[in-house]
Amino acid sequence: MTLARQGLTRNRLLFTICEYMPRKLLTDFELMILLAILRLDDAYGVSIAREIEATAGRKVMLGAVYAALGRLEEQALVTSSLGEPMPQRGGRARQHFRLTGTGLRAVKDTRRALVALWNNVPQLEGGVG
Amino acid sequence: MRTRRPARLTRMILNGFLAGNEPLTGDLLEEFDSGRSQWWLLRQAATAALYEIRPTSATLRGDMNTIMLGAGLLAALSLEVVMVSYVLRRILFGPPLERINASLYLMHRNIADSPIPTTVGSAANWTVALTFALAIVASTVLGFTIARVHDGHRQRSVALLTTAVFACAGLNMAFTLVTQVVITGVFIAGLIVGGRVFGLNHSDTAERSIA
Repeated sequence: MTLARQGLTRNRLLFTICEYMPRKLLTDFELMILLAILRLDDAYGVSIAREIEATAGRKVMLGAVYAALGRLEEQALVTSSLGEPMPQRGGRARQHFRLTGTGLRAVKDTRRALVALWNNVPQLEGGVG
Repeated sequence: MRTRRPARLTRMILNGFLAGNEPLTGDLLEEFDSGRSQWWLLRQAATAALYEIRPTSATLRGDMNTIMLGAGLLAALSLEVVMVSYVLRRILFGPPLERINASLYLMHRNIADSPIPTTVGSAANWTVALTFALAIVASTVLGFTIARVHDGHRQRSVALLTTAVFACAGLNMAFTLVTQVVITGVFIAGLIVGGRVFGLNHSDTAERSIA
């Protein structure tokens, strides 16, 4: 069957394939970390943990933050770079994190999925509470 | 310059498990230095250590490879131990060499008058327990050592593993088949644990311990 017979142009077909490709949806903790990175000018372990605690009110352990960051970096959703060694850190450097294009797309996809789930749920209508 | 010193136990955790993660250790020390309590640091370090040692998909893949390689090596070398022992015994005490053939290995199993030195299952319980303990201790130390020499001395690490496997297989001959299999499993698990402990402690930054 040709594309023309299906009424699809090549670009439309490509778009359709991309739309139906399985996408990476993030866990709530991963999403919080990525959003915290986006909100921060200088995103490193402690600042990310503080941002989540201050904004979302969720206590987080630094080990958990670094474990999640390692996972996100493996998936190319974030990149990192080492800063300068600092005396108050015993001569250790900070690891600064940034979102990649893929990371930003994953955040948007997750948001879209959550909003879609949110819509048309009668129990959730009529304001918060 | 840091003004406070972490507690002894915390330092042990930081040096032992988190030495390879410089940014995390640095974050913890920076926070501690800015006024966090010893208890906070200990809790954070202990949790972070758990995250460091828990298996990830990558380490699990590595472990599966190690298990398969270990099991294969052990099976091959155990067979070799039995064959060598058998051949030596035949040379020293048995009939002429020309009567030795491989089919004997398939046809004589656990028979009292078998010329093949196979499983005898005559070991006392305390011997089994002792061997279990020895297998755990020896293999963990050995796994650590092999991982250590593997970096620059591949041949030495293979020689070490071979020697260990021969010793294990030799010991195993006094036990029943089930005990042999369990001891072998324990031995291989010990090798993996030892190798992993070395992997956790060994990194370019491990030398910078927290005083």
